[in-house]
Amino acid sequence: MVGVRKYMPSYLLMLPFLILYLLFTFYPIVRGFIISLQKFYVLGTKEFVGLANYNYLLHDSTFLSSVWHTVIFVVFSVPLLVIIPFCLALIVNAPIKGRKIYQAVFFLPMILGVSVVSSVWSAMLGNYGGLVDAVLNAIGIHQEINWTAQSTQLAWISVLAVTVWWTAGFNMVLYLAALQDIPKELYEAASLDGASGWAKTCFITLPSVKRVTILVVFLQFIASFNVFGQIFLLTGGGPAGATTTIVSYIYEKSFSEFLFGPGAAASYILFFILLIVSLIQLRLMSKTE
Amino acid sequence: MKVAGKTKVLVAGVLIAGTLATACSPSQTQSAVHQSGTTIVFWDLFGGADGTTMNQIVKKFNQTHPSIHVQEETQDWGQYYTKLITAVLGGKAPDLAISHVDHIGILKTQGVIEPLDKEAASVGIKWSQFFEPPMKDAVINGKHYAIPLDIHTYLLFYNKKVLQSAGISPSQLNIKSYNDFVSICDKVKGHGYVPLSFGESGWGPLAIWETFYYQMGGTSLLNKAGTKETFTDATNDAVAIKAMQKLYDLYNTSHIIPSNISNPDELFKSGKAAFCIEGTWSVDDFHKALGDQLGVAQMPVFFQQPAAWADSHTFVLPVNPNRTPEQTKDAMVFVKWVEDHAWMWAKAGHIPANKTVQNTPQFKALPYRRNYGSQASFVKYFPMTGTVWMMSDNEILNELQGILLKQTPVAQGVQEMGQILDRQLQE
Amino acid sequence: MQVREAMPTSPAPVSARADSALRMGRLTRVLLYLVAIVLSILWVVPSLWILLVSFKPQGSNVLNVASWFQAPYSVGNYVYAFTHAPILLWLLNSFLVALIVTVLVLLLSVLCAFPISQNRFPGRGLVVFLLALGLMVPGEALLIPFYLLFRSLHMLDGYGALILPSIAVPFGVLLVKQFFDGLSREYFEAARMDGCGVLRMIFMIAVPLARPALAALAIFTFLGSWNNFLWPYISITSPNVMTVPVGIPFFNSSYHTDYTLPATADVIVSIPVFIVYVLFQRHIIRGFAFSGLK
Repeated sequence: MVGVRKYMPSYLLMLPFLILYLLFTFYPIVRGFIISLQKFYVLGTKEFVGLANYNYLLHDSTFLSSVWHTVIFVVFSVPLLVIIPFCLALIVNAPIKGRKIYQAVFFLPMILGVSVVSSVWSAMLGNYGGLVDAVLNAIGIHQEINWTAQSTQLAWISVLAVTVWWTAGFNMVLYLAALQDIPKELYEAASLDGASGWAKTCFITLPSVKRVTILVVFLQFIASFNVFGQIFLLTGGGPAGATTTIVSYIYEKSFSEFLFGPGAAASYILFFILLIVSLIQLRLMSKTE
Repeated sequence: MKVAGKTKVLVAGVLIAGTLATACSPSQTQSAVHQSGTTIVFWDLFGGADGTTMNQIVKKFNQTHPSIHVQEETQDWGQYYTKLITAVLGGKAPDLAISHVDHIGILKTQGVIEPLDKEAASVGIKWSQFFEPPMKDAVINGKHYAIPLDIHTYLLFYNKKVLQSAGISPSQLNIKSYNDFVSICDKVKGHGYVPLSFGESGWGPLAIWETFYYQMGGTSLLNKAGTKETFTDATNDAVAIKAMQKLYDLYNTSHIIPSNISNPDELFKSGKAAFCIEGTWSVDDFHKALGDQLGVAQMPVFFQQPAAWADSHTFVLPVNPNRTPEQTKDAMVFVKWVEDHAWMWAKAGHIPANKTVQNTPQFKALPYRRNYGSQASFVKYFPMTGTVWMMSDNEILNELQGILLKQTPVAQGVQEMGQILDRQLQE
Repeated sequence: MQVREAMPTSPAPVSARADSALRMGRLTRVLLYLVAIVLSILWVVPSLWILLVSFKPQGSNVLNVASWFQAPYSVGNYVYAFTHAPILLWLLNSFLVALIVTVLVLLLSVLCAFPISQNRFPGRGLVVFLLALGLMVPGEALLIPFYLLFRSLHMLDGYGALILPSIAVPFGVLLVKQFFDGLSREYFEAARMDGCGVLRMIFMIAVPLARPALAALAIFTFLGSWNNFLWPYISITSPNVMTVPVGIPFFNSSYHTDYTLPATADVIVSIPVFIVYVLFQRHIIRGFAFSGLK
């Protein structure tokens, strides 16, 4: 008890956050788990059904394909959103004229927000009037391609391109921060030894951004697994459900069909996947330290 | 970009303050107008010409009824029912809302709407004044849940100039069969125009399939009790598959519809397409874009008998414990007024559900209406159930799109649509 | 956000570096310019196109590339958009929500992280475990419990629903804690000897030292709130409470057959943000550069 009194100020300082945290994060986590074990009717009645909702999901082809789609998106988007931002960071960190402008340009979509980005690109990617097709027509390719709806592959390419366009700037800034922290003495010493620009990039720059790369990969994994907004607004999950992801499935089940039980169970599966991914990441991180 | 720190904060501050000032002014003026009397929050899902027309109706009503203020809030069509249900269950229900008539079964199951027999009678709305088709679905267990506003249906729009330049006389346009239509379209295609501007995703193709199905003599899509689909039964199976095949052919065999037009309305409005199958709601919009070039015809009889997909917008009373009896009454006053002035709504292109409006001079003065007024006699609705509304059911629509994108064979796809529907009817 | 002055040991900005250290061959340089310019064009063209389209009269034919560069232009869309939807209010809501969320996250994170980092009080392990648990849970997985919780609190469709879930996130606490962990404890011991109270210690010593981490956290939080879509989309139904990400699709859904009006709405919400961004660009990069994030 003496200890508790002695540390009273500590508890008081943590109190505001902990109350909010318990109410708006911890309690929802527990409540969500309970709902995932229930048959939950929006009108109020509920009954305990054990793992029936999880069983339902494992036999629901729509859910299974949504998991698969999400994995595809992660597999393609994470490397793209590591490599491209890194290259962008190299460009805007190089001693060229107007790099501040390039930097602003690459970061700009991030502040436009997901809805504006999707709205702009819906207009860009449509046929009979979209800019992309118009440019193709102008250079002699007379095709009216509906990029977001014509085929599964094109829809995914569209979603990936828009995601890169939208968020590459954010990861670029993380890289840029790391690049600007590399002591310039390293480069000077290498120059004296006669190293070329490319050699310096390979032997000084790359090793120096290892830690930030792990961070970027980690954040990008989480963001990519939770992908929703741009897909919802661009393809609506189509064509024929080919771009439905886990979060779109959760949204559909929960707030379109109002089946809260399976919706909560799907949320927990997403949580579980992210937990595993995070643990692997954390292990990797501690290894590099 | 070398602006001093203080200047930056100043500029940002001015921007935010400016936004604040402009952002707040419209709502203030609004609230000043309706301080006295009741406010009715009215939800609808009207975009395009529909939206503009309803805006005008609400404005006119508010001008003529100083003690009532109807506050119209238009929600996203695709997410409308999601929004309505989450709002009602979340205690943020509107006082009055629009619903499609074949969707009220689900709203009742979810506990979102309440019966309105007494309320309608109190302002003198008589059920006999409405056309039969929407009234059938407006009643559940002997109680009325919806007051029909319109019948909206698919029409065949055509561009006279395009037809002429393809050597087809628009005045003698007479489509007597599916094959007729395809051969006319082929001619148009030869002249470099898009024959039929129509989408490939969403509920549109499903409505065409339904139209074809009934034109070929298919019987009701569900059994009487609404517990099981019947279009894959022995009697209907062949018809359902054939209707799908004919739809599939439009995209993939005769290529009358170019695959995946992202904005069919816009394409037709630009004058690059000969035909467009669209809803009555587009009459006004198309007329504005094309003027005298626009032709409007009722849905042709492609097969044995006339039939056309249709639906109705209706007024419903959401469950809302915060709505006072006075607000309920005023909401009904608004409904009654709109029904009496339904010719205004007809401006958007729809057929008013209120039969008596058809004889008003205002309605008769509207263009094109006599071309399709009689379509109300052969319209076909999607079945109303307590669990599924086919038109916005993602699983069914995905299955259908899979067929049109050649991912699933036609016959198999129709079977699977039946299975999906059956499963959902049980859920 | 004057991070630079707070960090006496900060490296010089890249522009001041000796170019010799980064000297490149002529070919590399040409290539670099080429890539930079091509990519910039790719990045900037969509926004410029939308700007052009927004000035085309409603319902005009945008199918022809050449027609974008020809009259008629009009500001009609802007007049229409301003009078038919509370677009500026959405912008203001987005700004205010993001600002409030950011300020609260900073304040609460600092208050909570300090004792966890500096004191070994009973229950500390439990607190850290609870916070780490919450770190893994994405907001997207909590939509149903959020909905039910805010419904029973009668707070759906309001600013509370927009703000509260975003500030109860442990990321900030753990980030700031990590930064505090790296600070020398002697600082605080000395201060305590001088009879310095805990709050003073936090705000006079810890916070100034943690400014780099806090700047990064602020940017992170602000952008997160600014881009927050799904939960606001579910919880907000009144146009007057909407934020930009919810308002734009709401506006567009009414004009889905038209290119010009959605383009106009996009431009209206983007211009103020763009100006603010250009003004603070330097600070955003620097915020990350000196954070503990790397």
